[in-house]
Amino acid sequence: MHRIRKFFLKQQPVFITIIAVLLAFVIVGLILAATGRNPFNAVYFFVRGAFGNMFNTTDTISRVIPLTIAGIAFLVGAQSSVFNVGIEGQLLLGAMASAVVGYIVKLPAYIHLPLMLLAGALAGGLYALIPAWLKTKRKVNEILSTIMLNYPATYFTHFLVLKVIPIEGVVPATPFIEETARLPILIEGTQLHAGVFVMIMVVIFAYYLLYKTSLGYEMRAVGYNKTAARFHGIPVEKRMNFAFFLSGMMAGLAGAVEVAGVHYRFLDQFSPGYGFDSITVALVGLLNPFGVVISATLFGALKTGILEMSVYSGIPRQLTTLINGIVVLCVAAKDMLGGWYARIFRGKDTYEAQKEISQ
Amino acid sequence: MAYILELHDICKHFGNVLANDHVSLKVEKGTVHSIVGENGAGKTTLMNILYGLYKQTSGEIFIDGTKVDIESPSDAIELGIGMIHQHFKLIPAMTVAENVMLGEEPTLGKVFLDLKKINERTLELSDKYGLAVNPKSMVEEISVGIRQRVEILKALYRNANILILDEPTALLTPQESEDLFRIIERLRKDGKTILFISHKLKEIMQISNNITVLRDGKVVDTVKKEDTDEVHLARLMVGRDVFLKPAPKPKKIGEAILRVEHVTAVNEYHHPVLNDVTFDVRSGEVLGVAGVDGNGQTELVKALIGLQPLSGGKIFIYDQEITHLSVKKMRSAGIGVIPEDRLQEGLVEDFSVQENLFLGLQRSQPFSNGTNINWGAVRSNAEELVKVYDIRTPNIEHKARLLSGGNQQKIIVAREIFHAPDTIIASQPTRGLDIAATDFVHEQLIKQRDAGKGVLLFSLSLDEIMLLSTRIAVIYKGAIVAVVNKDDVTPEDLGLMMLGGSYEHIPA
Amino acid sequence: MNKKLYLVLSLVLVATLALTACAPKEEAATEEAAPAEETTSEEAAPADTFKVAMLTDLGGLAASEEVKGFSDLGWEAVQRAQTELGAEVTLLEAKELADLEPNLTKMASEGYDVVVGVGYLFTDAMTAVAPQFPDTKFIIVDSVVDQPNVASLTFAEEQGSFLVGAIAAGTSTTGTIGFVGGMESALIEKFEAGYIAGARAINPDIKVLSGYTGSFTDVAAGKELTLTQYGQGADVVYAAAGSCGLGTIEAAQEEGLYAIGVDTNQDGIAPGSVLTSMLKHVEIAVFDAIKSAYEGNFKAGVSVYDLAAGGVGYSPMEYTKDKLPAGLLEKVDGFAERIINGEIVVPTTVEEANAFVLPE
Repeated sequence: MHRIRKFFLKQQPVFITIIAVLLAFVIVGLILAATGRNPFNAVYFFVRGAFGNMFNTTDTISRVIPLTIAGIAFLVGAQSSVFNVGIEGQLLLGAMASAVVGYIVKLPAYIHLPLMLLAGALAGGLYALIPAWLKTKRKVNEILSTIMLNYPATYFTHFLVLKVIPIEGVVPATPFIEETARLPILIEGTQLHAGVFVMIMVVIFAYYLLYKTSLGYEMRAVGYNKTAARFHGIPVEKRMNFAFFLSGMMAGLAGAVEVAGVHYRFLDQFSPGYGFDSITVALVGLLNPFGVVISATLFGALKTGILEMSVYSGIPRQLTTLINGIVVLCVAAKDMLGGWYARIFRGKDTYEAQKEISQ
Repeated sequence: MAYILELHDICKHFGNVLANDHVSLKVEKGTVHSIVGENGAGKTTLMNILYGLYKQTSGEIFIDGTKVDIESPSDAIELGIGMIHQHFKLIPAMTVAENVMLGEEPTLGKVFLDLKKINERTLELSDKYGLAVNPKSMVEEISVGIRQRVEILKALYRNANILILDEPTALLTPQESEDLFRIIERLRKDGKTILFISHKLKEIMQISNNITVLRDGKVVDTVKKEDTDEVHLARLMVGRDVFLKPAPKPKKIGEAILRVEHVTAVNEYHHPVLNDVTFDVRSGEVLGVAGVDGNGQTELVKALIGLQPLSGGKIFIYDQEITHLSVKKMRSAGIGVIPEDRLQEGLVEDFSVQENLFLGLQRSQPFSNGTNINWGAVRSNAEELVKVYDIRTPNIEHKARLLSGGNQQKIIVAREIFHAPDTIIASQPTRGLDIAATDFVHEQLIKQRDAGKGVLLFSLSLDEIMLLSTRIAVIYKGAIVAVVNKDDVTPEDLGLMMLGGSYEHIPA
Repeated sequence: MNKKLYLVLSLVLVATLALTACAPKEEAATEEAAPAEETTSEEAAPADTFKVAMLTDLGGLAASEEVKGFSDLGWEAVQRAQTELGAEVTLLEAKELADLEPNLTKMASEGYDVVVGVGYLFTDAMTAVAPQFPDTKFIIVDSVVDQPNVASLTFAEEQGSFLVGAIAAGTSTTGTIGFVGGMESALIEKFEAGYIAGARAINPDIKVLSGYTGSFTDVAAGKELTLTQYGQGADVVYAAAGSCGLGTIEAAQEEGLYAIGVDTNQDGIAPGSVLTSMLKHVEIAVFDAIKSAYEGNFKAGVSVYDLAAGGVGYSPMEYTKDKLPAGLLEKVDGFAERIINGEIVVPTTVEEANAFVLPE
């Protein structure tokens, strides 16, 4: 018993997040029940829609891919106290750059595909150097600068597909990329593409970088305490610039993978706001690379599960946004949950005492 | 003698930790009764039980001879107990008077606040005890010392007869502390009973009538002030004799390790902060830098580790010039630093103990091959240092944030010494530490001195400077105005020089 | 760091709430659709039931009867198929582009005989999905998908727009009229081009102000742009911008000037303020295609719904007919005839439209 308690105490942030998510579902369930709908019926269709069969499962996974990569983009920044809220813009530019490389050049697949992904990553990374410069040289708050820089990126890509890049038909988009620049579909007749491997590599890379290398250690030190980092010889500005660049690269890569694996061209408005979802994904994932995969799976499942739910149980689709919002609220209210949690696993008044005891 | 408060065999368990072990206590009405002990001795736990924040596991509480059951702070308040916490619980955006009345506001027709009455009553109370608080000030605009008085007012407004002050001087300046002691005296004379929690021996001796010493959750002794002194109290608190005496003479003083020549620096407004600073630190000595806060100490420390741009002068380690090098290079040239601000500069609070124990060494052997971290080496190093330096932590993955100040400081000291520098710069190394931890830090610095290193000690406490230094440099307005042998000066001489007086002895 | 995290968190929260707030119209639509679903959901339909699925793109259905748009017309056609042909029908609204392909696949693999994609955004998705389900009949509105089992329904929006452009120019007293577009695209350019050409047919010196809101949903942007154009002297503004057009109508009502509706008959939203509406008879085109599939003579390939085919036109102008200058409608109907018999070729790009001269 004691050991179980100890485990639950040590993993407190993880369990609290899980509780927060479950709580969100309970709240939504209550709302459904209050409006005269059967919440269990809803859950059934939700799970079926997200994981009920091969097609739905692979569809979910294909939504998880961009969410995860973009979530990692936010994470690598946030771990170095760089709050990149401009992932959407970097993602769009990355997608555009990769689409252009994908259709303009003709190369064998083993060069073409990596090249187009690299182009996407570079475009995102370079774009993120603008807020990096503003932050480290001009002390401009990066939350403001990155959020504003989403607009030029959105409208620039919009302008390109409308006015500059020649297209046939009514769809504002670039031409299709060459076969050699596409991520192959892994299971015929599904949406599951090889981007899932890119995603896995990105997650492992982020974990390895942050927790296994000196550079990652320095980035995290900067993230937690810039003064101490500076006192111990870590070049704070350099590390922050790198974090911006890396974050932008991941964002650009997320866009490139969407182009290479799903749309095969840059389609105007193709991103439903992956850049903004990425923040929620990273925060719910507790800024841990593997946590991000789990939370991206949750949010991916929300997209596909609710689709099915809305068709078959007559429950409005707005629930996705509602659940999203409630999950964020519950996670934000973590401190409160933390108090309750501690009481359950330690007994009354010990939460406050934890610090005292460890002294 | 009537006891206003009696505690009988109070025990408090936290899981399998016994925080209070059969604590019994009798407090006389109208006295200042100090509860002293090292951090973790169980002082705060005991007071929280008294105030209803915790419930004792066993034991009884009597007030005015009647057994009472305190389930919550509101019970405590009902019984006339008020507590002034270490961290204030005020609402910054409200006025002093509003904070004082909060929850028990006088109203007009039960709906509208009677603001006039609120202000009047606050002023009345404030005047009665000489608190000098303006009821209409916003809390966010007043100083820490005044905020504390607002907390006291809150308790008085609720008719507290027993006031618990939990380490009230921790955040105060010396002047504010003096003011507080005057207020406490006035409250006592008015018949209030004060429970004063502290580990600062000097102030305890200054204001207490009776003193109860706690150690490891147990009462060691309760003594009258007249029957004790600081050394005796320290022994009771720590359980053994403590170092607090002058360090043994250095064995052998060697050549100069760190040389600072004509160093000059200006701040961002182009005012000079370091003015032609010249001194050296020799192998086997402690050079103490004495001075009033704000005379360039912070800038000098920063200059020595490469964080303060210099407008002139040179710095050497042996014969190697290290002026204008990066922090990393200066430190690897042989400078270790125990920074002034432990939490901001010395540690990354959210890093684990083991991560903190190689901060600054993350690219050096054996912790890293330059690219990848060798976590095996990090772990074994941490385990060793935790053992050698007696860092009290549940495990090496514990976050540094959760450790006590003393243990945090031990992490820094352990790391900087492990770093094996030629010179150790210790800036306010014992600020806020309890006696045992202070003693530990002193011991380590002397050990390094005797190992042939040069130690540069910055301290605002003249006592500490006098205890540890071999030679003493006095810093005043950014300049070293004198360097003297410790044995040639008295604290009074130093005090004079720190304020700009001259000194006719020949510098050593 | 924590402080900043909370700042970011609250930003996310605000964004989420804003998104929820922006999309109230879908909710009611689903409610509306719910009864239809009941017939489809649980009881397994007999194998020989004729099943029709309609999918919307990002636009979704409208919240109320008066503000119905393009997608609602498609749904009207599908519901008509339910009553007239006894079809079992269902509706699936997409929320993001990534939904389109799975939605198509889902409906096709569940054995729907006809799958209707309303909106050009379905182009890529249908191109990918249609070949996998050769036995399913697909219908796409507003775009062309070249597959043997896809019927592509396109409309000659420029022709309808030509007529309302002529009405606008004929009604304007200031000699200046306005055009409000949604997201810029080749499709919306057809509306703009026809409108300009029609206006020039009445008054070669007419000044046409054009602007795009960059959105099909931002009502406030539509209103603002319209007010700007009124400020520059326009007294009639034509909105081809989805629900942004509601903003245009609101502006017209406030200023006492005219708006021109699009797609459905919007004259009733603000009687007297909506001069006329350019009708795009999606409901006719979609129902025709479904019916032909039901009767076994489904025709793949492109069908152009133009004036001649009755696919486009202008509203009956219930509330404003009396206020028009005498003889204007006769002129407009004359243009319609000449378009039908090929005498007038309506341009589809703005460049051509600006050079348009009415043939003698």
